[in-house]
Amino acid sequence: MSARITAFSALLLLFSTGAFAHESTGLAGGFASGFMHPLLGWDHVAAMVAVGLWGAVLGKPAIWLLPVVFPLVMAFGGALGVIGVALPGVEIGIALSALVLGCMVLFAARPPIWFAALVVAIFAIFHGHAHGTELPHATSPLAYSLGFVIATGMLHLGGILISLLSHWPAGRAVVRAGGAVIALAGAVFLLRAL
Amino acid sequence: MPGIGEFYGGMLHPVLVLSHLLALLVFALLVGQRGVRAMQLTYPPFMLALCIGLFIAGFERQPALPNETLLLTLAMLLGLLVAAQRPPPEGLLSILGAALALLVGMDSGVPDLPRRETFAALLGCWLGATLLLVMFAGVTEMAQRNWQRIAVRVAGSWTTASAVLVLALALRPVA
Repeated sequence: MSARITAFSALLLLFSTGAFAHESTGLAGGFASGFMHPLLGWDHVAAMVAVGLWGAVLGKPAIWLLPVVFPLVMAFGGALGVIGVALPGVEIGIALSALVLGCMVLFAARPPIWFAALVVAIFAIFHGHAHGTELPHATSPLAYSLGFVIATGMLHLGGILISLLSHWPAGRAVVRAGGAVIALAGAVFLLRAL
Repeated sequence: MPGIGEFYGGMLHPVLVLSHLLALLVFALLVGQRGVRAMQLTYPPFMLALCIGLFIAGFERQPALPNETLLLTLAMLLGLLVAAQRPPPEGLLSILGAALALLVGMDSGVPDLPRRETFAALLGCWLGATLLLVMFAGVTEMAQRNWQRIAVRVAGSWTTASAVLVLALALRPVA
């Protein structure tokens, strides 16, 4: 009974709105804006969830290897953005990441782990670059960077949790349908970016 | 921090300065990954070096070092070791911990306070940083399940990623 009440209370939190008595500045502003950056761009959301889904489709060790490796490579792309190294076609790269990773989930592709890591790493550079170019404008760069790295990790975790459904036959169809939706969204993002 | 006094303000200092928090946390994760023996060997030099660093800060004799850059560089390297689950030997870990503590201590000065308040603030800071290390290393050491070990590695990866980005910002060429 208490577990149900706890679950219901936790669900209610999802519908709550923020209190605006205090303005977010300094650390809070930096962390909040960094945390929201990946969450407010549907292209980022789609690709990050797809990374989690694909990791789960690939099984061990990819399921934990991708969330460990992705932030490191993303930081490299972010550093390129921070120091002002131009990367051609960032938006196209991000849109392609949703399309390609969505297709990998849709078709339950299981390439060798090095190939999967390479594909994810290439796309991580584009995502990192997009976040990194915003960093110099942040109130607190360290808080901003922590915010967006944690939000990205949470999106991976979301994908991994959704993929737990694949323990059931109907769940496997749901996961693959999720991949199809992400791939479709990626195609739309790509058309807009071109 | 107004209203809570110098001692508690000092105690919260390592938690509120993000670069200190990040470096201390990732060091704690590494010590926890290494195990109980590493805790026994790394805590004494850490506490002593922190004391020396705070002593230097108390007398305002700190050398002009880019403390945040050094702390983030250390956090980046330690985070990589956590992510790879490759904690260094205990001796090297002790040296790294002492270096980290010295930097944190020297960067925790409280200028323009009377001697008594300065001592209270520095004592609070010493206790806060030590407690932070002991608690998080202990929790990490207890995290033995597979998913918990992976969560620790992910935290190391996140730390390195954040540190790399801020270091890039600090070291980027000025236009």
